[in-house]
Amino acid sequence: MAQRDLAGTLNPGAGATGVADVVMPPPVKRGADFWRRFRYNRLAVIGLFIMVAVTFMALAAPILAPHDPDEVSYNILQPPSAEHLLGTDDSGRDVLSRLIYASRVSLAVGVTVSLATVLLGTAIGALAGAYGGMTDTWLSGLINVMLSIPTIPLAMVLGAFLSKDVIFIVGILFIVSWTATARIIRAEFITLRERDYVLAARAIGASQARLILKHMLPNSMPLIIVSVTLGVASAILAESALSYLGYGIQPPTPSWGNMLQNAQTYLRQAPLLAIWPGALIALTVIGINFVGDGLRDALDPRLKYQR
Amino acid sequence: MQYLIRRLLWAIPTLFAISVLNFGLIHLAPGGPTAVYGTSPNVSPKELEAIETRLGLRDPLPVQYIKWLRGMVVGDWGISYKYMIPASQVVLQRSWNTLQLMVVTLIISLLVSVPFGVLSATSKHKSVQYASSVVSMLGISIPTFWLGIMILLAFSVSLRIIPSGGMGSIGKEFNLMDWLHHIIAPAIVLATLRIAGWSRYVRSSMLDVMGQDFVRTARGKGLADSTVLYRHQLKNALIPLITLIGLEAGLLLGGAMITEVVFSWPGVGRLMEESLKGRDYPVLMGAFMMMAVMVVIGNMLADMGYAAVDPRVRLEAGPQGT
Amino acid sequence: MNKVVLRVTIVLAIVGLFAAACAPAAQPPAPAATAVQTAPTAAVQPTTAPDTSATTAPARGPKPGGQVVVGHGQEPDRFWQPFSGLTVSHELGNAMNLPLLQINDKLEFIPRLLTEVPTTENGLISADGLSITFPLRDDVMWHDGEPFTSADVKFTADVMMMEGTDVTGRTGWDKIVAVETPDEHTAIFKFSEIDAPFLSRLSLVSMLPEHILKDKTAEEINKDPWFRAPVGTGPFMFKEWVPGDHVTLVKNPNYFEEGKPYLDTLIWKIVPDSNALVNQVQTGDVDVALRVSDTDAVTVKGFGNVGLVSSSTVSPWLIWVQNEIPGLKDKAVRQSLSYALDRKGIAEQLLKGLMQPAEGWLPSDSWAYNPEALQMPFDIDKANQLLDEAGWVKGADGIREKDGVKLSFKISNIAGQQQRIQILTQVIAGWKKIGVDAQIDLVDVGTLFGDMLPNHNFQMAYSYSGLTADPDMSVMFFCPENDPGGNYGNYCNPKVDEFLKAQLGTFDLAKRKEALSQAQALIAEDVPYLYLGWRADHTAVNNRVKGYLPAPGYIELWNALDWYVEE
Repeated sequence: MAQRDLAGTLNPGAGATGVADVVMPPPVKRGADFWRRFRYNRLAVIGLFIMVAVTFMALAAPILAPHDPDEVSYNILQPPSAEHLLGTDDSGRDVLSRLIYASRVSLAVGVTVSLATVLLGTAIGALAGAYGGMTDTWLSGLINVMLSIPTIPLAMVLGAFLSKDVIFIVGILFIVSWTATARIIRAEFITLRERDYVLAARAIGASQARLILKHMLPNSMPLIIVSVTLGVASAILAESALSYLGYGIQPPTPSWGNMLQNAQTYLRQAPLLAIWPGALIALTVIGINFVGDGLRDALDPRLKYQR
Repeated sequence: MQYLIRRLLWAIPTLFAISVLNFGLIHLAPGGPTAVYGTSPNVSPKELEAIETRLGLRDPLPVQYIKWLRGMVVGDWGISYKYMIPASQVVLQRSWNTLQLMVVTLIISLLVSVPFGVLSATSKHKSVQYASSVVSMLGISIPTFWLGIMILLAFSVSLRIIPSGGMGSIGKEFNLMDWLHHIIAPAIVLATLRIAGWSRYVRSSMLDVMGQDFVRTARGKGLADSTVLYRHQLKNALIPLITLIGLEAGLLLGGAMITEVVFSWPGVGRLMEESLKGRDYPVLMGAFMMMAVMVVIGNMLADMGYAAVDPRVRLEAGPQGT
Repeated sequence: MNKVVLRVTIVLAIVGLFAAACAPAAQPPAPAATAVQTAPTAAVQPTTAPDTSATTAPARGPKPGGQVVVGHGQEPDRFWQPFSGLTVSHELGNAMNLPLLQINDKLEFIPRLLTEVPTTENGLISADGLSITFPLRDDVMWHDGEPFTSADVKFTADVMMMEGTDVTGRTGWDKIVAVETPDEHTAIFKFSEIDAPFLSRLSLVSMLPEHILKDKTAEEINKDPWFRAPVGTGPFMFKEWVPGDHVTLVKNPNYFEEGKPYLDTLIWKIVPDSNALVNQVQTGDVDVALRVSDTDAVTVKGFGNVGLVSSSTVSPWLIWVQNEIPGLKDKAVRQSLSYALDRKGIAEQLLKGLMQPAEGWLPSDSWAYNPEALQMPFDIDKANQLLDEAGWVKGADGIREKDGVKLSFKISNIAGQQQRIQILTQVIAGWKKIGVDAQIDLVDVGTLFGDMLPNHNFQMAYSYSGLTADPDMSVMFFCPENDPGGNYGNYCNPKVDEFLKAQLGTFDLAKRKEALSQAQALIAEDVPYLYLGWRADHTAVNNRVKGYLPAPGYIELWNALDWYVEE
């Protein structure tokens, strides 16, 4: 049954897919068309707004923060007041200012780890999945080995030789998290490899590189986008798990992850301390995911006819 | 079948590489098993040295590794430094507890995330799509420990409808209801995170598959929506899910540490954390190697799963598709 | 002089030590926030417990039967103190299997397997201090029905010194030259030199059954199942151990004290998360929670069904300082760090009186305390002045330096315990004011105690020092060449060593006090470590449990045989 659609599926990535999509916008207008589609998704716009706001918060932290985030006092665990809008933490520091400064580290960790992870994960996964055979065997072996490396001992050994700064955290999280993406992308490529348009393209002599870049990769974009967006959240939270064991962002530098972790001690006395960073993480993650959804829908022309 | 045998053979060098890496890592980490005595002022360095010598920790690392490997090959994992009983006994017992928790978690996760993902991809109502997006995103943003403590505060301390921790009522014989009563809360906490991620992948794949030719063809042929959904779309959308479950099988052992701590679940995640703090190398190596074996097996099963779901998948395809 | 009653001396010493830790003068005014309160006579009064009648006279008297669940975060390893570094193993080891004597809530020795505690007064400690006679009870049976005899005592001393076992803490035991057993119920220890704190060490070693463990090699003893399921002499017997979950002990029906223990069952529940432990205390799933943190103590105080018993220990929080590295080598730097340490502010304002400030390893009304020793109250100006005089000048970044050495240090600290970070954050803020930069370096327990401290591989480190009932802490101060275990900071002052050795070698209280005073004066000036405050010990006790008494001498289950429940 699939043979009939062969012609239409030759180049799905470039936009010309099925027979139903008769009216495709000419390539010139593609950018505008993309934005029109993206805007159509109201959630995506909200998500974009959240992301811009959070990014602005990180960049303008010194201007926005009402206090020095490291200014210590004995005025500890205070509830919100006019002086401290969100109260103070267990060292008497202004929670709002710390949250604002923490966005820098958290966003940096979340976004960097997620992007790096997806880049490497996609590359390795794509190669393994597209080539199969011995390539797959070797790369799968590598993935298995990396997947079996226990995070904390790794952090311990590296932490003994390196300074535990942001790059260290990003490095550790990157090393241990790219494998999951790699396996998901590999699975996707294994199925894509047998799709009709790939077979057809191969039949007319397309090179393996062209097959991967022009045919299979664009078709796995939805999965890749989901990976990126989910990756941001897990990286931000993984940092808090690392700080529980001493290998996260070191005090006094605030991150949403370590603020959340530290609030655990005071869950009974100052429950709000855990709510603020948690809410910001949730908000950011939701924003990124909405944008992700918007992107995947806007990039995937086949969906149009469903709306 | 031939494929399976080849994969199994390949597992041996893979596991070997993993063991070298893990062994190196945990032995190179600063500190040692005598750390537990460090708090007592009356323990002299000589005594600690004697213990280290007896445990063979003063030998060169390769020698220690070969000793360990020789034991492992014949099923001897070594003696736990902490408990002074075979490490295999320590690890297997705790792994069994974690396994129970993870199986229940996986069942809950699947039961919730698949319908959730399908619903958010196929629903004609925008509001359903929005709601499912937000709910699943909240799930992934809530840290495990926070959710765990809050569930305990609400349902155990205030409402008193679930127990405050542990695997069963102390001093009572095992019974199924008691077990379910204890396992449900930690399993829900563990499932929350998975539901969030998994339903995203299901949704994405569903949307992807829905746009594909064979689905449209099937629809064009006049097949009912539900038939299309189940026979064609869902099956294909399951592929990333199979990968995730395969991954989960591998990481099963280590993945539940924080939940095990919060719910006093005597699982292997907690054992690993304690063993790491106490540098109980034989237990650690045993647990890590078990994890590695499950990673390899999980991967293998996932691969076979792809072929089962999508018959077009040929696992041994070479570069030219032959 | 040498007729001084040993028992009295030790008791005095210990009570002094303890009470000083809670010196009433230092009490902050707000009583609601003050958990550590002590009556001048007794050691500890429960603070919030509305009904801890056990400390006074119980109205109806103990009723036998019932079950108590003790909650704690640790998983045991082997139930014999010299084989374990874990509190849980020490606690349960004591409940199942007794040492010859124990330490009570007033820090006095009480006989357990003895008819009498040896003192110089009753002659059981010889005049030269080199021989101690232990008169054993004749009605003690092992849980399997075998009689407990002097052969078991001798066997235990032999295992303590046996090569190749996992025994740690041989200090003192290595001075025993012989154990004589003239009859079944008398054991005489002969020493090569006096070891003044020996009885205190003895209270932490349970006796081993010769009839079960004899003729075994060291390696066999290390692995013997007895240590995981002891057949002991204690009021409770081992029943089961579900790894990671709980340990169940049951009443020993043949226990030698008539009618005791009262409880049928004692369960040790392993609850690794402190929030979860507090929850279980509130729900009543845990009756007695041992060693809850200061933060959780505040929460527990609010529960209606639970009393909180707080006491100060003789174990101080301190910042270990590496005395041999550039910068910290300079005595003026260490002194100014001490002056810039706001102990009082941290204790009273940050911790709301849950900690009492400490300036040395002895509390201020210990019999051995030297009030003449240099005090270093919070004084930023003085600290700055000391650094100026010593030639440390502020650089462009506000950090002082001299000859290319910057006063910038890492304080290594165990991760995952927020209160430690909270305290250090204040310490660092204080030091910033005198141009000293410090950063917290989070490490895991295994790294700190397994590598950094024993290998002297740190700049500064935060933890508390071990707890001993005797004022002797010389292992922390002896010069490195004297092979101490606890001198992590490489401190060395030969004069201090002389005084410390002198006080170890005599049972004469006056002589010990003189030598300890001299040592304190020198140490206070040298500032080898920065003492911060006395660690508090909080126990949450459900109101249905009666008879709990605090344990300043470390073992909380020391009187578990007197606990009973009242529904």
